[in-house]
Amino acid sequence: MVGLVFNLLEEDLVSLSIQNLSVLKTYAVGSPWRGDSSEHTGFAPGNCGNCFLTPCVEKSSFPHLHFFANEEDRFFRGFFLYSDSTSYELVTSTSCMEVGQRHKRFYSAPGSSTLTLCRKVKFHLCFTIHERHEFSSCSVMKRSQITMHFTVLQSRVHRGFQHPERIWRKTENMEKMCAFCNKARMGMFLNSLFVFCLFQVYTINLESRYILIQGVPALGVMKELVEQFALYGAIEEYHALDEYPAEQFTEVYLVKFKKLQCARVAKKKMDERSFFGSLLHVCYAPEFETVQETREKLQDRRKYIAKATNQRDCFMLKKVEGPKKTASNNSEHDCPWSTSGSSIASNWDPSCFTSSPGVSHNTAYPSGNQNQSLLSPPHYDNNCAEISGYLAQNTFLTPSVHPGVCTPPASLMQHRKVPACNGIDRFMPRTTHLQERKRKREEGNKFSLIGTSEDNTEVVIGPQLPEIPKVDMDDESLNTSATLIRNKLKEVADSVSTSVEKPESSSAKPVVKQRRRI
Amino acid sequence: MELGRLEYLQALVTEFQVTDSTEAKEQVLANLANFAYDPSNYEYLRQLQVLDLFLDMLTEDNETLVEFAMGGLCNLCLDKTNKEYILEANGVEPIINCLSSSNEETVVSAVTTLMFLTTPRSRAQTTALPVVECMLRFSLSANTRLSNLASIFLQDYCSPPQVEEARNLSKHTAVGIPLPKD
Repeated sequence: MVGLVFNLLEEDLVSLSIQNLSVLKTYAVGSPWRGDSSEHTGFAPGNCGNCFLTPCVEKSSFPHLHFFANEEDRFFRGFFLYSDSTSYELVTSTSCMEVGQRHKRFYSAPGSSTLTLCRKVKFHLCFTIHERHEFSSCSVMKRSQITMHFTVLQSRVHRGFQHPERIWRKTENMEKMCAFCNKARMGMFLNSLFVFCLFQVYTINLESRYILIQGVPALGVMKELVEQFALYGAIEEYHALDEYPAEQFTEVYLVKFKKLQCARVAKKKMDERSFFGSLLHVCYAPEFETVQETREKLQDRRKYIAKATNQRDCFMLKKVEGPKKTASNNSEHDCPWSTSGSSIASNWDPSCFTSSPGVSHNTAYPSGNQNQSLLSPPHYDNNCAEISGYLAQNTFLTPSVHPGVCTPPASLMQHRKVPACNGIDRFMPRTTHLQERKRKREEGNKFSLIGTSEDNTEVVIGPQLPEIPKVDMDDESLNTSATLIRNKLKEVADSVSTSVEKPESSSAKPVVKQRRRI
Repeated sequence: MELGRLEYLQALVTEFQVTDSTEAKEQVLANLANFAYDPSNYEYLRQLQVLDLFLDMLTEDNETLVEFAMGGLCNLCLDKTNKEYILEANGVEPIINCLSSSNEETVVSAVTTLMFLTTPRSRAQTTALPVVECMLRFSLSANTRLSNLASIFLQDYCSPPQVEEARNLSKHTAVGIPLPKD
C-alpha cells in the first residue's frame, strides 16, 4: 500500500501524475473540497462524512491529479493517495512515476518484502512532490512534514492502538505543525488520522534482526552510522548494499543485530531521525535472513510466548484465589520480582527480608508476612498448597508442626518464587506499593525486635547478607533474563540445601500445613 | 491503562460488528490483530471471542480482512489455550486455504501459523499431503521470506517420507496451489 498525506494551505496547488498505478484512491479531508480535480482526471470526489473519496481510477489511465485549495477554506486540508496491494506492480514492473521532466525508475530487489518496497515508493512520492515546488507554495511542501505524517501514521498502528493525541505529542516536529495548523485545524488533523492510517498487522514474520537503513548520505559516514546503531545493542554484521536502489547521493546499509529486541529498539529510535542532514529510513529486512536465522527467530517467539503465558497462568491462579485471602496476605505477591522496568527498583526493599546465613539467600523471607501467616494459617496454607503444585521441585513434606513464632513456613520461601514468574501482569497502584512497603518495613522492624533472639538459626540480627544486587537494566528483556538468572541461582542453591528431603513429593499435591524444615 | 484495556477491546469488537464500512472493519481488525501480538492481551481476546472473529474472517472475500485475520491468528496461536481453541474450532482447514492466497503476507502468516499449530495430535492435519506439496513449491520461491519458512516447515515439521511422497506426487501433477503474486 502506498500512501501520501499532506496539508494544503490557501492557494496551494499540487499536481502530480502517476503512471501505471493500477488502483488509485484519493481521499481528501477537511472542509468542503474545492479541488478542480474532475476536469483533469474525470472523477468527481464523493462525499463521505468528513472526508471525500474518489472512486478508483482505471488501470493505465495515467491519472493526473490536480488539487487546488481555495483561499476561503480555512480548515486543514490534505489528501491522501493510496494504492492497494496492486501497487506492488508499480514497483516490480520498473514502471516510472513521472513528474515534470523527472523520470524515476523503481527496481525491486529480489526477495524484498512488500513493506520495504512500499516504503521506497512512499518516499519516492514524497520526493517527487518535493520537486514540484513551482506548483505549490514552498511553505507547505516540506518533505519533513510529509514524512512526519507517515511517522505519525505508522507509529499509531505499530503494536496496537494509540490515541492520535499521544502520538501527536511525541512527534518531534510538533512545533512546526503547531505553527502550521491552528487549534481548529488540529482537531481536523486528529480526525483525519483515523482516515489516513496505513494499516498493517505486525507479525513475527515482519520483524527481523536485520534492519535496512536507507537515506544515509554518501559521505563515508559508515563508522558514525554503525556507532549510532550500536548504542541499541550489539551488532553482528553490517555492510553497505551497493546494489540496492537508493536516492541520489545516499547509500543503503544493512545492519544485523545480535538480538531481535535490539533491532526493534534501534528501528524505533532511529527511524526518521536526521543523520548528517538526511532523514534515515529504517525498516526490518527479513528477506536477508537465512533459513537458520528465521528458524531461530520463530523459536525465540515460541519461547517468549511460553514464558509469558506461564506467567499468565500463575496470574490466573492468583486471581482465583484472591477472594479467599485476607487483604494483608495479598501483600506477598507484591514482592520485588516484577520484571517490568522501574517497578523492580521501586519494589525492591531489602528491609523486608532477613537472610539466614546457614542456608542460602533463598531462605530469606518477608518477615512481615510471617506474622500474617500466623494470624490466618488456614487460608495461607491452602493457598500455598495450590501454588506449590506449580513448583513441584520446591515442595516437600515435613511433619506438620505448630508454627512457632520463629519457624519460617516453607511456603514463604515458595511465595518468593512464585511471583518471580508472574510479576509482569500484576497491576498495583503506586500508592498501594508505597503503603505495602511501609507496612512491611514496620512489621519487619517489629519482628526483628521481638523475635530474633529466640532462635538464631532462623533469623539474624545485624547486617544482612548481601543479596544478589538487582539492577534495572533499562530494558524489558534484559530485566526478564536477569530475573530468570537470579531465580535459577536461588533455585539451584535451594535445591542443594533441601534435596535430601524432597524426593517423593515431586508430583503429588502437597498436603496442607506443610512446613519447611531448615 | 491496564484497567481500560478490556473495555477498549470490547469497544473495538463492537465497532467491528456494528459498522457497515469496509474500511472501518479493516482498521478495527488490524488493531485487534496487533493487540494479539502481546501475550498479555490473550485472556481478554479470548473473553471477547476474538479468535472466532479471526477464524470467521478467513473465509471473507476481502483480501485485506483475510490478511489481517491471518496475521492475528499468527500472533496468538503459540499460546497453548489459543492453540487448542483453534484446533477445536477446525481452524486448520481455512488456514490451509489461505496458502493459496495471492497476498504475500497472508501466505507467510499462514505458513507460520501452521507450524505453530502443529502438535502431535494435529500433525496429520497440518502436514497433510497437499500442504507438504505446497510447501515444496514455496521452498523454491524467489521470495526469501516465503522460501525460508517453507524450508523450515519441511525440515522441522514433516518427516522425510512425507516430503518424498509429496515430491513424487508433484512430479506428476503440474497443477497446484499458485504462488502469491509478486
